[in-house]
Amino acid sequence: MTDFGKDGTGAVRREIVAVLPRLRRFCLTLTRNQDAGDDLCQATVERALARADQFIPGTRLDSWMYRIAQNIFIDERRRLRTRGVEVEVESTFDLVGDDGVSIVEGRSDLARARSAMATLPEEQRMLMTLVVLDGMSYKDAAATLEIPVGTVMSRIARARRTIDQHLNGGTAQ
Amino acid sequence: MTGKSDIHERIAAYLDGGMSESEARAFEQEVDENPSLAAELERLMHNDALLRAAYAEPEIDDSFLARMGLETQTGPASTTPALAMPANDNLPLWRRWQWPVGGAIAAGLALALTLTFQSGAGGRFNDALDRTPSGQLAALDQGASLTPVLSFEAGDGRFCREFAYSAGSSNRAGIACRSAGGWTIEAWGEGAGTLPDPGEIALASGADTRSLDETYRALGASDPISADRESALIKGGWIAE
Repeated sequence: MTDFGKDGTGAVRREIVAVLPRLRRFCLTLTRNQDAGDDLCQATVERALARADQFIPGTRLDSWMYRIAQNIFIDERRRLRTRGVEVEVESTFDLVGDDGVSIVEGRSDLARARSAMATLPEEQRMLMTLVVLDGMSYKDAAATLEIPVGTVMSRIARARRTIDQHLNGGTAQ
Repeated sequence: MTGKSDIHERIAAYLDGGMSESEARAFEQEVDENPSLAAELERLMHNDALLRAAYAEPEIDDSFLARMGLETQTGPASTTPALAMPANDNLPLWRRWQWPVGGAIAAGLALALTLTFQSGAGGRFNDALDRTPSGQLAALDQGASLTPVLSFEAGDGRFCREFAYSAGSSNRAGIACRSAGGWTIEAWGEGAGTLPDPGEIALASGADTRSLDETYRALGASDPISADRESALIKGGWIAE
């Protein structure tokens, strides 16, 4: 449980650091652009730190931060889009090792997976991130995005069908 | 709701841990008896594995922490695997790649196939480690899956494998090494986690708290073994050639 006592700031910061890799990924899948995603991540962290007293101890900090990110994204969508032409999804990922060796074999599959994800509607991208990437339960995902569990189930199923069609073409039904 | 959309939602619920134990068993029975459904399930599991590989948790370095305003006076408050790389590491060079990239290099394989270990078909954790090439996903029971990332040889002569394990809301990375008695888990993610079948697989002392990097160092890991050698070891039951 999050401690908001005398050392509350430090405790919250540590929890935010723990959530940061997943928050960064969530912002990336939401914006479909690494730079815009990192901007959104930064704005989210800043707002979370400024409003730490609004977080309810015992609830999920990651869900709380995802909601902040979603709200900022919606509010700032127009501004984010005017920052420049969106970069192709493939070019926003570092698929090169430290010594410059490129990843050949797996690259096309991974690039196709990212491309498929990028084609999903915003609400489906968020759900696929929460459920498939983060491993969140339908109940928690529903609470995070403040939608009914039934909506989560139908959107996830639709998203998987779309992904399947992009990755496997004619084999998808 | 049409029948087709219903089955898609059921597959999704199975994959996402949204079924009860009895519902999952009934669904697995249905899959066993329906090759078309089994093929679709395998395909969607493979798609999920690709997505997880494509969107592995990004690394968080000091500069990113500083940008977020989260740097500390004593350095970054590292609590995640992505932050675990020490400044003065003596890890093998290949460990600089994080999953899934390391696996792609080591095995030289695209994520191309999905192997399914259905309940009752003898396949569980040990079997998946024994028989699944790196980069391929092995489906365990109840929507869980295991993907060996790469294989290497420990300093004591044992063959070891790094793997990714996913079950419901739990996503873990681990290292297991094989001896005559089977696989022993030497590292199991970060912090607490539940083993898939503790009765089947041994857990080395301290494995639940060691990071992968610490374990690689402790084991004296070799470079990743080649895909050809790994294939031969799989066929030969992980006995040194």
